[in-house]
Amino acid sequence: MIVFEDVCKTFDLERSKKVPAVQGLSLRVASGEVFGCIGPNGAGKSTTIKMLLDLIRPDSGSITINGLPSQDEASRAKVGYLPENPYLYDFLTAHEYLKYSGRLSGLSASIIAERSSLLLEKLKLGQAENRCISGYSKGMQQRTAIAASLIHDPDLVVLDEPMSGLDPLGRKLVYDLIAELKQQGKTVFISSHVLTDIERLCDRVGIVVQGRLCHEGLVSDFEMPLEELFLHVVADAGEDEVK
Amino acid sequence: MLQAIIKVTFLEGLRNKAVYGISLMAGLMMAFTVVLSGMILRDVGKVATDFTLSTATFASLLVVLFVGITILARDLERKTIYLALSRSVPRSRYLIARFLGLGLLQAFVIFLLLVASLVTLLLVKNMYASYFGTVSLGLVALAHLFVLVQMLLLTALSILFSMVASSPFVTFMLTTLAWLIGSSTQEVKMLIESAEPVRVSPVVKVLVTLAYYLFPNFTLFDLKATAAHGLSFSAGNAVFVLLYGLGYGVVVMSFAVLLFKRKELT
Repeated sequence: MIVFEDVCKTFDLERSKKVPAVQGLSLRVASGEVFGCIGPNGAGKSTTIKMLLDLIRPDSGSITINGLPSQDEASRAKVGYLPENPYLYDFLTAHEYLKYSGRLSGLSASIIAERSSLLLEKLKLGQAENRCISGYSKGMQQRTAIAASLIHDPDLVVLDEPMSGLDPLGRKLVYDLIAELKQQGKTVFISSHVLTDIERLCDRVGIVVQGRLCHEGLVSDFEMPLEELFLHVVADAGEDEVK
Repeated sequence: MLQAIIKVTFLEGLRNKAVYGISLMAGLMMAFTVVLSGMILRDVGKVATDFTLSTATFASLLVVLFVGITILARDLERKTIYLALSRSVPRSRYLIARFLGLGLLQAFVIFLLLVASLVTLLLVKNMYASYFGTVSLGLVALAHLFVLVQMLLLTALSILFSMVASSPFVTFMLTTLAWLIGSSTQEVKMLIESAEPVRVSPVVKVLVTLAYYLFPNFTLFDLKATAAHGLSFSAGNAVFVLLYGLGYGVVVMSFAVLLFKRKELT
C-alpha cells in the first residue's frame, strides 16, 4: 500500500523564486489497486512519483510504501519504475540492459534469462535484443524501459507516461501488459495523458491540478466520461486555459 | 548489485569513442618516441622514459576529463540513474560502484599504456643500445601504478565536483583546475619559502599554503625523473605515497557520498 500524508514540495528557482509543485497531498493506494494520476502539464504528477521513489524529498509530510518510509531503500525492493521519456544506456543491447536491471534487484542469471526472454517477446523486442539500444526507435526504447521496470516481477509498478512515444501497436502491447499486471493483482500507479486508457485500466483516479489533489474517486462511480470530468475539475481549480 | 554497476560503468567507458581516440593518440606518441630517440645521441633511455611516462599521464588525464566526467554527468543529466536508484540500491553504494567502474576503466587503459611504454622502451633500447643508459623498467611499471593512483584521486575529485557543479562544463573546469593546482603547489610553495620574505605578499603565502594542504599533491606521484635517471625509490616511500593517495581518496569520496545522499534528482 502507498500512503502520502500531507506531502508538500516547493522548488527553488533562480532569483529566490519559489514554485509550489505539490501542496498538501494526502492519498492512499491500496495493494492490488490500479491508480491513475492525471492532470495538466506541470501539475506535479512526476514530482509526486519522484518523491514516492525518494529521487527527490518532500519539504513536509510523509510517504510510505507497505509501511516503510520511502527514504528507506528496502521500501523499493519490489518496485518497478518507468520514468517519463526514459533515457537508457544506449551503448548496451536490450538483452544487456535487462540483465543489468535484473542484477540491480539481485536476480540470478537463470531468472534474468527467463524473465527477459518472456518480456522481450511480449513487447515484440525479441528480434532486436542483441542490437545496441542507440539504434532503436523511440517506441522500441520505451518498450525496453518498460521491460526493464518489470524484470524483477515487482509488486508495485510506477509508470510515468507509459504510452509516450508509442505507435498504436506499441500502445496496445503496453495496454495489454498493464491489464495483465492488474489481473495478477499488482499495485499499479500510472500517470498519463491518455485518458481513455486510464478510464479503462484504472480502478481509481486522482486529478491533480497545480500541485493539489482536486478530485479522487472510483472510476465506476464517475457519472460522466473521464475526459469531461477532467475538464470540469481543471476549470474549477482555476486553470485559465480550460476556462 | 555493486558488480553490475561497476561492469556497466566499465563497458560505458570502453564503448566510448573518445577512449579509442585517446588510445590512438597515445599510440602515435609512443611511435614518435622511437623516431625521436633516433634524433638524439645521448641519454636516449632517459628521454624515451620521460616521453612514454608523459604520454601515459596525458592520455589517462584525458580519459578522466573526457570520459569519466561525461559518464557521470550523462547519468545525472539524462536520468539513466533512475533505474538503479528507484530500486533498493543505496545512493552511497551506487556512487562508490560508479567510482570503482571508472577506476577499472583507468586501470585497463593504464595497463595498455604500460605495455605500450615497455614495448617502446625495449624497442628503443634494442635500436640504440650504446646510447640507452640505465633505465629501471621496474620503476617504469611503478610509475604507471602511481599514474593510476593520481587518476583515481582526480576521478574522485571530479565526482565530488559533479555533486555541486551546475553543469558538466563546470565539473570539467574544476577538475582541470584541481589537476593544475595539485601538480604545481609543491614547487610554488618551495619557491615562496626560498624567496626573500619582503618579495612575497603574506596573502599569497597563505593562499599557496592553503592550496598545498587542500588539493592533492600530485607531484608526489610523479616518478618520471626517478625512473628516467634510474634513481632509487624506497619501498617505504612507495607505501607512504600509496597510503596518502588512499587516505585522500577516501576523504574525497566520503564528502561526495554525503552530498549525493542529499542531492535532489529532479
